[in-house]
Amino acid sequence: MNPAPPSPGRSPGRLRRSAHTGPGAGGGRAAPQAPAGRARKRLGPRQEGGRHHLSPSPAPRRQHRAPSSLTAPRRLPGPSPRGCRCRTRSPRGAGPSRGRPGLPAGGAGWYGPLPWRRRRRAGGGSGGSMAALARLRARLPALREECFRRNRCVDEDRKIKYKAAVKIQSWFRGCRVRAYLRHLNKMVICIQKRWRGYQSRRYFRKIVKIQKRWRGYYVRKYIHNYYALKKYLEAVSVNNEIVRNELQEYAEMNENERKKKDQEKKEKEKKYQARKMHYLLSTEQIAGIYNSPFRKSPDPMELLLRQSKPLSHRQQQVKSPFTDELYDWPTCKRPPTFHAGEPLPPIGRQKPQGPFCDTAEVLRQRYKPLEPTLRVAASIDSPLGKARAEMKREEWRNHIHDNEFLPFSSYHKNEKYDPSIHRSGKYGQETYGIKHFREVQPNKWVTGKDFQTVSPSIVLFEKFGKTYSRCGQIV
Amino acid sequence: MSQRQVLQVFEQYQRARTQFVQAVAELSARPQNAESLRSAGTWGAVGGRGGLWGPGPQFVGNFFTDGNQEAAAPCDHLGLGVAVKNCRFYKKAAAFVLRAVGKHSPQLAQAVVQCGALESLVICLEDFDPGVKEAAAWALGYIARHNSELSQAVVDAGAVPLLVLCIQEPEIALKRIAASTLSDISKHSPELAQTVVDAGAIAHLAQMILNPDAKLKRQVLSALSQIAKHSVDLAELVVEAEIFPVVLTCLKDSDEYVKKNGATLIREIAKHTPELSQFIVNAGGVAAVIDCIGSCRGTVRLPGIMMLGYVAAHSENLSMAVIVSKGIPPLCTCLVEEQEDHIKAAAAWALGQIGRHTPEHARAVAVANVLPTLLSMYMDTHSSEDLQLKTKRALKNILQKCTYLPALEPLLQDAPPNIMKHIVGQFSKVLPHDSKARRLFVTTGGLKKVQEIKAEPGSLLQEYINTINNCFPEEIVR
Repeated sequence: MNPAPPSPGRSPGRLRRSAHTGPGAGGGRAAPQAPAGRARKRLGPRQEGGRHHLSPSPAPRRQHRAPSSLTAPRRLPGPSPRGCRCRTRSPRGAGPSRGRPGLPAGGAGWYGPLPWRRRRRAGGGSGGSMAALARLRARLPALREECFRRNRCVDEDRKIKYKAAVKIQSWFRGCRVRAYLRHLNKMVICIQKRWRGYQSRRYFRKIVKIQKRWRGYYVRKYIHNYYALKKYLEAVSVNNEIVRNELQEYAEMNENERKKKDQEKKEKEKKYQARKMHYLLSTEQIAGIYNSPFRKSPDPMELLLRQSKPLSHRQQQVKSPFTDELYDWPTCKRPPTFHAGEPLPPIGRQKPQGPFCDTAEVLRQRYKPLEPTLRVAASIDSPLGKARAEMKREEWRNHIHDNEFLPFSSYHKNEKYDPSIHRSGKYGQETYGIKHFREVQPNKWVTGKDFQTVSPSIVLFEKFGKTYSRCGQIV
Repeated sequence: MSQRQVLQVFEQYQRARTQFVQAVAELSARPQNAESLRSAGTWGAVGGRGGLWGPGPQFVGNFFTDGNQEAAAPCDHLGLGVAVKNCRFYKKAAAFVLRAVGKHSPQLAQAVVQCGALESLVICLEDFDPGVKEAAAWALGYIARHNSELSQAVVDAGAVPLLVLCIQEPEIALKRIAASTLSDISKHSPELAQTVVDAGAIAHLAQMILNPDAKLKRQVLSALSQIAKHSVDLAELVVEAEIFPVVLTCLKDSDEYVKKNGATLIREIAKHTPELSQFIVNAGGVAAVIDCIGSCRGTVRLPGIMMLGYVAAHSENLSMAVIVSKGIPPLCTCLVEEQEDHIKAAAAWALGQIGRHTPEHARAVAVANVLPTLLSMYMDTHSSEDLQLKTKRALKNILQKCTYLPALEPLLQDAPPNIMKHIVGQFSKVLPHDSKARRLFVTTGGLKKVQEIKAEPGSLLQEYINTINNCFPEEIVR
């Protein structure tokens, strides 16, 4: 019997799976139905260490990589159908130090003697049925093999699983501790914050008292200063009074000026009227209309008439000089009408004695309005004239000389030709420069020899007389 | 001999032609002849190529001052830009025509601009003759008046520096027209106003405030107020030109419109910031404006009233300054006397701004016995919407701060529920603390009126009524 023992002796498949589910637990044997092509991360040295007893080739190792526990096929309790892989894989005795050799003896990989082995031993001594004993005996070597095999598997996995378990547990403990620390931290913060708040509030109450008083003082003194406001408003009203008085004075002054102007205008008007109607002045014989004999004293108009000088006719003419010009009077709103009518004829009175012309005729001639011709009425500078003047100026500017161009040769018949400066000399044309360039007078030479150069000479001058050809007649 | 006769014939012809055009020009001055003139085909006779000289443009101008707009189009094609090269009479008359055309509508002004008249007008501004300058400036002013694009076109043609030069000329009429044109240009947008300011106009305009001519002062004040109204910076620039306290003398001028424009200028400056308002108060401007309001009648008062409202709105100190300067009585008389609703609305608004700050202010307003007037205006069905709205707001603002109970009691009788709420609320705040007031309240019958008020239970009004009732012993309440 091979009851499924508890965990160490459980089906290797089961063990394998739990080993697989441990984090990074050396990913035990691959499930036989592992989906093909499932790439799994190669684990590190642990894997190596855990599996070094296996064949070194990587490919089978990959096969041995288990898929995640979720996709791993469920393992039924009991021996796996294919048995422990370790038998097919590992050469016997290839793995070092796994306790294989010592196993039967000590049976103690890590866990001590396996219980079913003990049981096994116990079961062999019964005298009950010989057949059973024989059967059992027959199964014994296989059992032994089986035992070894299972132990080996378990032991092999054990280390991995142990390590995996350690890792899991350490991780979990770490989480727990960290959670605990976090919790502690939170508690501490809570306590500290309350304490600090309390402290500061206690302190704050003291500070607030000072600030309260300071702020009240400051606001009352500078911002909402009641007394300053009151003074300001009083100042404003005083200022207003002053301004009102000044404006009143100004208005009165304006009023006075206006009245004065009106008065002056009226007076001027009166005086003008008096001058115009000077003929109403009373004489010694005839009392004027303003000097009625029934009055006690003459009318003021009479006095005015006495004072004023008679208005002469000449002044009448300069009255309106604006009739000719259009829109020159700025405040003229409607255009001036052109006076079409004639001036009224004078009131009929006795003709003056003598060979005088008809008065109406004379006046008409005298006051005949100016009727300028169009040429006069238009501007002095007519555009045509201006354009002509402009053209003339331009031409004068552009001329090189002022001599007129005379087209026919007959105009130039008697002109003497003026040669240019280059060619005109004092007594005719200069020969120097045309006929000869440099003079040579042999009769004036002192010796027949040439100059001897004593000091180094200018190279160019050496060539004088030596480079010319025979035509030059020096060589 | 024969040459003289020939010339005489030609002169006769020219003279006859001039006479004809003159006569037609005179006839066109009267609007009833316009129709017959048009049907007689005078336009072709006069407006042809050779005819538009001398008095010709004047005739055309007369034709257009009546608003006949159909002839505007051919007018432009005549190339009035030719005005540049001719004598000054022609230039003046041509500018007159352009003004007559451009003043009626933005489309016509646009047509004038499109035919290139602006350049020639600007060239005319540089002429020596002041009459020509005046005519050109007038035409530019009328064009720029319509909208901001046309103003921009005028500015782009380079008119502004020349106008500033025109302002400095000695002729009064030219100054007037130039000031009016600058005012029309700068009224549309802050950028245009800035252009005018950049040309240095403010200093010259500020100097001209002292000029005795009334019409000039009108235009100058109008120009300054159009500049100052756009932004705080422009207003500060205007103030820096030291117009105070000289501007206050304008408020005492005999001409009504000078007063109005002066008040407008001060209002436009005061409305921007509390500092500017403070400055005006310190210069005594508030007193001058209050006197001005007292002496005028009608629409002329309106800018002054608004100015007081703006000053009082900024802060409670300024509001108190307005009260101290005796600003409330003129506003009350305004409210009562004026016929126009918009002036009444402005007065109501100004009173609301004065009274809304603290109980002191509200008391000052209430003491003037103006609350019943406001209430009656609010309830009046003939008042316009604007007036009703403004009086309601003013009442609310004042009542929320008013603790002067004798002024509140008359209102208890016929106030509508939304106002009643505030009145009763104020009573409920004051009565619990003041025993004398409680006694007075009972003796004058206020308590009885409060009992008669019907309010929904749970509403604010009911709570106030309950508070009031709790101040008094049970027997009295029943």
